[in-house]
Amino acid sequence: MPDTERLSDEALDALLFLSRLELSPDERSRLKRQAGEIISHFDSLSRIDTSDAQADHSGAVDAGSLRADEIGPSLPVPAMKRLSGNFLDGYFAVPKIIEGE
Amino acid sequence: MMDATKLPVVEILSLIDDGKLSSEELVKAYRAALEGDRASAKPLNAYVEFFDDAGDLARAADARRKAGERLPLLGVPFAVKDNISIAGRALTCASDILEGYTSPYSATVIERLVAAGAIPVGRTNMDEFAMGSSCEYSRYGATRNPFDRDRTPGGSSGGSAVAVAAGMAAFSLGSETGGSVRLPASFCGLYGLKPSYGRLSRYGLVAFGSSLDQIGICARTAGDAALILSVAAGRDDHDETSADAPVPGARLEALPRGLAGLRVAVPGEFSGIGTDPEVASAFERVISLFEKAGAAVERISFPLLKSCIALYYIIAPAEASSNLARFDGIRYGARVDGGKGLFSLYSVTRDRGFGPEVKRRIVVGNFVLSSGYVDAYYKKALAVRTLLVRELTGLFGRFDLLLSPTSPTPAFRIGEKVDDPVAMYLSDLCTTFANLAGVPALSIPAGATKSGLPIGVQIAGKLFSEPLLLGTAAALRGEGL
Amino acid sequence: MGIERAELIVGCEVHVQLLTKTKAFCACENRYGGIPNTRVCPTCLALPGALPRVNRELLDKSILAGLALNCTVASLTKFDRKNYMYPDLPKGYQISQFDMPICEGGWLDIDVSGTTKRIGIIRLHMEEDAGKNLHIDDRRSYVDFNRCGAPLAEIVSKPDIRSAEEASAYVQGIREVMRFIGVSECNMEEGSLRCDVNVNLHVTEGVGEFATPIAEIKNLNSFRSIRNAIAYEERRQLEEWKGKRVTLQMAGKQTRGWDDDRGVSVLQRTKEEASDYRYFPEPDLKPIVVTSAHVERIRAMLPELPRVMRARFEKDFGLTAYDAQVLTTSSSIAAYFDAAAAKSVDPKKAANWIQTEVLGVLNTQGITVDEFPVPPEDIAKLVDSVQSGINTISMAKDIFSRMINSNMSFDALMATRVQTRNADGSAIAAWVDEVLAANPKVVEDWKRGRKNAALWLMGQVMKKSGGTADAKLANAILERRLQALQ
Repeated sequence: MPDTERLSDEALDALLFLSRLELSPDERSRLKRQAGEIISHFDSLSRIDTSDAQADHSGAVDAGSLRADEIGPSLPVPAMKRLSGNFLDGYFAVPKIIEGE
Repeated sequence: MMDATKLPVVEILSLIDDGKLSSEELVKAYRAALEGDRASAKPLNAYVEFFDDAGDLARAADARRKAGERLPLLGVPFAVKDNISIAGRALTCASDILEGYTSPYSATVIERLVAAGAIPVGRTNMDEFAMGSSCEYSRYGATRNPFDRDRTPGGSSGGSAVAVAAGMAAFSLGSETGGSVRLPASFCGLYGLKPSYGRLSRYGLVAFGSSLDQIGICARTAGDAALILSVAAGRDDHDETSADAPVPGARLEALPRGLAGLRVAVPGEFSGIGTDPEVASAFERVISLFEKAGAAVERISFPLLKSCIALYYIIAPAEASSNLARFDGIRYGARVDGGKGLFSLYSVTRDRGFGPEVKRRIVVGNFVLSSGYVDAYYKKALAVRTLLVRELTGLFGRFDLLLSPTSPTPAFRIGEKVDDPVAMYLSDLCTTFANLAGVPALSIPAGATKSGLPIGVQIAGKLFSEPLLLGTAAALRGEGL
Repeated sequence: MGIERAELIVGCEVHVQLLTKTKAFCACENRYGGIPNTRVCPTCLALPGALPRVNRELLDKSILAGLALNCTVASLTKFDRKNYMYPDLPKGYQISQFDMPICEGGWLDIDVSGTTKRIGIIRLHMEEDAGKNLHIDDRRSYVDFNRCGAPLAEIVSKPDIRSAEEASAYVQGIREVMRFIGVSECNMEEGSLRCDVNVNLHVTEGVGEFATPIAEIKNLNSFRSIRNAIAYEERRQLEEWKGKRVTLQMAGKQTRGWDDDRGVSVLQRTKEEASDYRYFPEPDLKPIVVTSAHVERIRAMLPELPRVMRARFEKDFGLTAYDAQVLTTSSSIAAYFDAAAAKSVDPKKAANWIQTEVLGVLNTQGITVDEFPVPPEDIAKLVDSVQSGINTISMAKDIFSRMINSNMSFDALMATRVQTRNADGSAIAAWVDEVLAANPKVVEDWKRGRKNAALWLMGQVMKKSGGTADAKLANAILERRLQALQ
């Protein structure tokens, strides 16, 4: 499959939506080609037999080792103001949210 | 006064101990080197910020020493990649999207080094969000290689490597996801350590590929790297993936140093891949050094190593697509509100805020995780990764070390690969396996090309075998490397 | 050919906010309300470089909840990232559980119109809550991250529910159990219990059976809206089937919002891609091993559950179903009654006293039974003292209010009362003799071994004295006289 057809325009649109990216037409077509090229290099993996590669959870931790439920410090409000110029009246202001958006 | 800017940490400490050098003088000398370079025709562009108050911090360290305080790194200035948080300092990851962000907290590794007396003197340039192998994808422009200013220093921790190589810091911290410390270290003639996954806390390191990321160390000697590692290592309650694996008082003398009897594997998969002849001959020289010292070097075949690039460029972008979702313009950093509602705030902020390589990886990452593709790509990659870990564990049962060039070529030209992502990705050919398997790896300076470009070789070992890697590097030096 | 049958099929997803001191993945305090954005830290604000840490109480309370719902606890569990971007979700993903939830395969029994029905539970998994978007003015929305990262257990039922009433009873049952075992307040107004329902119809027409498209109705925040939304959806889907004949296979699942004011569900136009959550294992957290010893330690903390307790109260104490229900509205009231009943000769009377007098005081004073000063043993003594005639009802009420106000025990109050009144042995002896003479049948009963008879006689003595006799002295005299008669 030619690399440019690896990603259909519909698929790319969906990915750009998931990625919350809005690209210029030029950037979009370049990305489509490059992403196609990158993805085509992944095909080699399909030839590797992984039928016997069950996920390994040897690094799992014991339930008893988890963080104790003790309250720690939170950030002070002035720190929030330093983070964002849109911290208004104690809230982070965003454009009006329309349900389902 | 002597030129102290190129001295290793261990020597700096003994000069300071003897009263022959002060921390303040050293910081002044680093700053002078930086300012001299800034005035040159092709500045290296290693630092994105050298802290105005670095001298004050150094003076304070000198005063503490005078007052009798003794700490392992008291007064040692170091440079920090701009993706590691320092409380009260800007943090940008070389990205426009973090414009104006100041971290309210410090990374655990920073806290430990500072508690040991070390002084962070500045933030270093990098590929945006550590995505790149050349230190060109940066809002601050490319960093140049001090050995040839038309070449890249390697990436993504290029600024950290150059800061040390050019005498502007005693050591530096970088970050590793697929080779981002080892590659620039090899291009700049330094030791570059990628510790075992979990050896150092990731708390405060801006996440790229969380299952692969580790803070790494650029140092002038293996002994320096050992000292810094011993100060920074160990379990951190802020990072559940950190291991309870401290490196006790790693003075170099305590490291295992005999090359005799070491079993060294040289995988064929990392040769014959367009390896530069000068790199190949430098590599052969290292092999013969091992053999002369009594190590058993065996050429082996490890086919899975060939799949590591594909594996890496599935897993790292998948995790990155999720890790970078927090950069949305809502709570901090840049916000571009076109007045067209929420979706537009997100997409315009992210479109303007991220560079092309970051966007590529976010899109590819979302692709390999999206329904319909997740099985063929992401889950397949996880399964292959499981095989890799298993086979590598087996290999390290039979061998102490895996030896390869760090990169098939020395430093490449600025602009050479910048528009060819796949070619850029192949720079990581020899390095990604260590991140995928979580094992430690060290790039060791191994001479230079005729034109003076440094060459690096890499040794990797089993999980938590850093003392062996560092001791071996020191022993190789003793053998004339 | 017309519709022969249209069966309503409902499954519920209930989100329960867990009562822990700190949030799920950071040490910020987990509490409702307060000044916005004051309980946030690098982790729950998703600052660059911050990492999550699992609260062990998130795990343990989820296990307790799962055990109470008869689930099997996983020996190995892990967290996954559910990726979607929204202003109230700082990381751009929610830490949740995908394919290895902490609990699976349980059930909850509910009672609807006099019969018991078992609703299957597919799974219970752990996740974190989002912040809150406030829509104060028309220009902007405002985000408060105090709730962000609060620990949640999501309980997913099988599609075993067949009516709006069953759905409501199911959610009430979940609420009752969760409150009873103390893992959640389940306050729907404060959002510590939230419910999504999945609704469709299985329509039988001739030989064919068709499923209508599933509607997921999100964020129902009262029992009334759960009932109304399902009833509405049942009608709407039937009408839509008659008109358009669209099946689940053709249209899949849709998300609808419930408009409580208008009483209608509204299709939410969401991009299809928006629901591609791209789950993958959370790399910042390791899988967790849950040993059977750990599960058993938690199982040992599981109290008797309300349904079981009600059955016991009815059987052992002879309570009506209604009384048993009232006395099991909370675990502490149930425990209070249980303790009083155990000490009382007439548990039914103790039940009445607690329902009318104790709960009345709790209501008027706005306190919980844990803050109520009178121990259950004293309620037993008080009730028994009326039963035996030592106190009249009005005397008992007087003592009850004095116990509350003075913090004195029943015994202490009785003793003071007698001390200040009659301790004249000859007067008491005279009353005893009068009572014995007037009640030969009761004396006979006593001789035949009815110990309660003595209590009754004692009550008569107290009555005769107008409550003034020293009860201890009177009891001693009565005892002596009776022994002499034997």
